[in-house]
Amino acid sequence: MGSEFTFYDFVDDSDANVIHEWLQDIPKGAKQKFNKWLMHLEATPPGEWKRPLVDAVCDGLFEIRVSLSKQQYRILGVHTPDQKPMLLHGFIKPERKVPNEECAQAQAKREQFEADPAKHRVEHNYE
Amino acid sequence: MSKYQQVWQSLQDKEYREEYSSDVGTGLAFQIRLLRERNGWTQERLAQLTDKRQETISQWENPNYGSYTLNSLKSLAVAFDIALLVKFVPFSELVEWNASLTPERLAPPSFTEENATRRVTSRPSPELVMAVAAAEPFYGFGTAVASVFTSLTPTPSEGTAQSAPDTSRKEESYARAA
Repeated sequence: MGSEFTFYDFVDDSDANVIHEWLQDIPKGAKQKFNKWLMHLEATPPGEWKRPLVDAVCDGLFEIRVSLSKQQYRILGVHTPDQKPMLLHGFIKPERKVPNEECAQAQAKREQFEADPAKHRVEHNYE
Repeated sequence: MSKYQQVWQSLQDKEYREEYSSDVGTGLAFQIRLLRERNGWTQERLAQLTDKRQETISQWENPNYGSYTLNSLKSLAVAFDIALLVKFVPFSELVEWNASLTPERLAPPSFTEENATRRVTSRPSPELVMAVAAAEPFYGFGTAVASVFTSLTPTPSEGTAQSAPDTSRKEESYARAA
């Protein structure tokens, strides 16, 4: 029996993998932790996707929150019907609650994805 | 490029490699959480078994924690009746582990569960060994096959009583917790 899931990254209209690009911009410690976290989630049965591994936020999205050097790095994603969880939006915020504007950005990407799934997703890049 | 190759490419960066190697907490938190759930225990129950507070278990299950002590890990291994492996390895081994995770690797079976299946799969029954030995002159398996089976036959020192699971330590920790 292999992994339960494979993560996918959101790709925008200019074919840019926004998650991969965001991960290149954050400290390497946070980037490697996200990637390791995602690999472990891929092997975690769906019933165990609970806090603090995954949080439910923004009306139907999930959040992965990496804390490093008093900074909070977050990725918002959405579950898809075909069990290919989709990573939509990454950001850095110190507040406990996810800011409304970050939720709105993630929801906008979700709508883009749902309108044309084939165009807007690619398998997560662990490099 | 495979997941393994992608991670390996990232490790060409020394800073990333050091961060990747030093972060043992992410994987441990997932394992502790999944092992506890598989045993059907609450955090309070695991706290009893490890002589800790429930809040400590909650911290241990957070991938952002990362400050485990060796004694904490030993107490968890005893509670779950699984082995704890702490060793230096080449990066390839670490990448292979992370890139090929499965639910079973994250929450490995206890000794008792493993022992029950191992007896069936790794040790042929005496009847099978006898049958192979008896058939050898007719089918010409050669001595290599026969010697393999012979080497797998339990010796007198590997009797059932000695290979039975040693639960005394676990029971002792249960008693202490109670």
